[in-house]
Amino acid sequence: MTKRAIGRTFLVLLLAGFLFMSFSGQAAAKDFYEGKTIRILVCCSPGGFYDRWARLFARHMGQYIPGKPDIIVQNMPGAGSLIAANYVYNIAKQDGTAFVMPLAGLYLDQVVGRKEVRFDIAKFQWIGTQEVSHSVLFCRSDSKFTSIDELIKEKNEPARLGNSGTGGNSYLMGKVLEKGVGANFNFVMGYPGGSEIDLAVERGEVLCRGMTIPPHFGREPYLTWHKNKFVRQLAQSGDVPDPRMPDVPTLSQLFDKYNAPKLVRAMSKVIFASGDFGRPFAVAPGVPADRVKMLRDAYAKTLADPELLAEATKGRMVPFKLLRGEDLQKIAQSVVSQPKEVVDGVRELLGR
Amino acid sequence: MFDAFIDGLLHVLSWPAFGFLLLGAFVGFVVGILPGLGGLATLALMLPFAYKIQEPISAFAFLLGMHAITGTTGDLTSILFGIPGEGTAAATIMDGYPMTKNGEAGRAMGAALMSSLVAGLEGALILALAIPIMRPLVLFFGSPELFMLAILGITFIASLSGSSLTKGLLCGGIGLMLASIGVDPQTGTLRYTLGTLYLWDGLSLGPVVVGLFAIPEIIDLAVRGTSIAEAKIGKITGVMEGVKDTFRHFALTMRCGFIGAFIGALPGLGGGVSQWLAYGHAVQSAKDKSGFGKGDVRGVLGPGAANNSREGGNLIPTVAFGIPGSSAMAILLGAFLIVGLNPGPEMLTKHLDVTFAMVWILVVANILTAGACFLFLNQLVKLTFVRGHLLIPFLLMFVFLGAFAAHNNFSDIIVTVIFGLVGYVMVLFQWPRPPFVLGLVLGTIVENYLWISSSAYGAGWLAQPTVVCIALLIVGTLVYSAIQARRGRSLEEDLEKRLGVEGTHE
Repeated sequence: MTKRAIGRTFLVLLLAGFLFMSFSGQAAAKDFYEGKTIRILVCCSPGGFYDRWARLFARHMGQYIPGKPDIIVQNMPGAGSLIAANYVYNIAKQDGTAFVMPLAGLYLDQVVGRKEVRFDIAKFQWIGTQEVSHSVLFCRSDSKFTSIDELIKEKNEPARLGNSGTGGNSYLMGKVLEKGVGANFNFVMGYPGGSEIDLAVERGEVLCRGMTIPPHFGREPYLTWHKNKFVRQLAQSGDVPDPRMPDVPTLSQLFDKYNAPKLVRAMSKVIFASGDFGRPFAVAPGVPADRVKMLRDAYAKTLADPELLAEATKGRMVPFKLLRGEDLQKIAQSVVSQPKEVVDGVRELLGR
Repeated sequence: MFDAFIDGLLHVLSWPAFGFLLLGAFVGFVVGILPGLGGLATLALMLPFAYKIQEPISAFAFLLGMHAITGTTGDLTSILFGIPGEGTAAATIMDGYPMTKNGEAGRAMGAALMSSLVAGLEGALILALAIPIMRPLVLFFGSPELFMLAILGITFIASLSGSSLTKGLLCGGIGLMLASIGVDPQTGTLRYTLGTLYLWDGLSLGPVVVGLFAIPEIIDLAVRGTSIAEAKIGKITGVMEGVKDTFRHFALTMRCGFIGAFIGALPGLGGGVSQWLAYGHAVQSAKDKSGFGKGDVRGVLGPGAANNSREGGNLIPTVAFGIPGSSAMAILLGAFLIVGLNPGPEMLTKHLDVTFAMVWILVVANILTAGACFLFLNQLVKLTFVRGHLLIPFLLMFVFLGAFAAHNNFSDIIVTVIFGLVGYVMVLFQWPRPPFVLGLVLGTIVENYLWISSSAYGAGWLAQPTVVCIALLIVGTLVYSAIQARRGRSLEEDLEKRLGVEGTHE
């Protein structure tokens, strides 16, 4: 072979290589996820509602993402989901193969300015959420605490409210009612988890508990409690009453009735914005916009999947409602930009 | 009720439920032996199969059968290599691994399996017997009682201290102190978190225990340069010996089985507690304590038993209230819903046969594992005669995978290494490790339930009859062991004197 022929062959090969590269590059944009595996990093240990939702999505979402990636769930519990959120924001690849499913109240850590927060809620790219999970406060029906008025009246032996720690729904509901309408509680702190508080309610060790609404209507022991009229709901945190308890007053109704201070209303709004976050997915800020759009669409389609619906129904994870990532993004942006007095109020209330 | 009892058994033994039980048992066995995939994660992973299985008893046969077995197999790695398969299976190491070093691996495993089987059956029996009185039983134990039980557990530190009570108390105290690491539930204050997020939730038991017990043994193995088993034995006859041990100490096995079931029935005490309390009880109740920690078979029987009867106990609040008795039960609750059952009072009336079927699943699964293990035991024992240098890389992989898998957090590995060094130093200078673990396990419980009791009941809880009863029990055990210790000492002196006298004769 002459020198020239070699040169020519080389040129052709180079060209072919270039063409191949550019084509495959195009294909990559379209089918980035082909042969890839997405990890969903869940805030919590296996078994809870967060974990169950993550696993439900892991089974059904892949088919709606172009390239049909595999999806696996990885539990990364700890520090109220700060560990998982920090990991996805800073350490995991910024290519859309790592989702985080944080606790709904993750943003509160940023609002109160915890120095361990290594992310910006507003810059996380939210993919969507499936559940509006507002909170409810209930007390045993056989106690004297049958309404908010009773809670306000009883000062000597206030209602015993069961809590695990200062970030839980029970504590938040109690504190907001205490500040806003003057309800009195004896905060019994330190139960290992919700199950233990429920047993304490059964036993009469505590009389009241606050929690999110979906499990309150979705599983035992609450189903039996409702059937036997064992507990009575006294307040709920959403703007409009949950259809399953239309007569239970919302916090804003109670604030109106008892002339709550403006500051407490603003604080309550921030604290219970967690209800809108439901059980959300987010990806890191570095993920390209077209891929984020792809994921948001896939999320919406997955939630309409008949098989997912059937499984969710069986697991009592219904009713659920899609909130698209774009809308969640707006909520995320608004919730972390609060005036100083609100931030200070929230920080004091959370004991941080 | 008797009909439901028999129906339950027939359901479990009929096809396809039995097939699912076998499948579940197989998966549980593999997961239990291998590190890295905990029983809990596997259960969550396998839960979706319940959608496909549909029929409640088959689904439970699969899931519960799988779960029941991971406890038993976890004991095996503790005994063979000194590495707990699960954080909750660590107490078996205390005497199981020394037995292996003495060349008695077969006997230790025989004892662990047989006591697991006996106690598994006992747990199932307790569950069956408890069915009519489940609700009052669980409600009887409030926070003040849990607090007192934890205090009772802390008194075991004295008997777990080995040669020096002072060292034991100090270790227990350090354990209690380390238990306070993390976010304080009363005020949200961060305690001793050293600016890390990892420590917000406190030290997690798994990595601490693995580090504390497994790493020193691996270092020791490397230094010795031999195989794990030091004694040369021609034939492994020990397995049956271990089985016989179970019946030789039958009362102890049953008592520890009861402890496991009892603590399992009380959500709020947590999985790590029962095995250590059972071990503490085994040591405390023994007349001659000198062999513990050096390979006393009673130290294997106790924790082996408690580990399995716990499952029966865990099911009690799960079935009676729909309130899970452990994290594994929380996942099973999901399965209840998927197969269309409502855990709760219905399980004691309308679906009583399913409840009994669950009892039987525990029984059959325990028998199956014990049977299967006995077939393989002799092969497993051979591993302990392999040269240490060949084993160490695999053991280290076991250790670190196991530590990492629980939280997928690198800090777990750091904790394992740190406590590995601490453990090595403790062994070197003869500081007892069990009191430390007991303190760590019980510290949070004591603190939280003390707070809860005094804020819910004021000072009044101190006068509650059950609290007073447990307090008397605590004083009783302390006095008893003090008397026992004195008698032991005077016997020794007696013996010395007599020997001395004999000496003068010569």
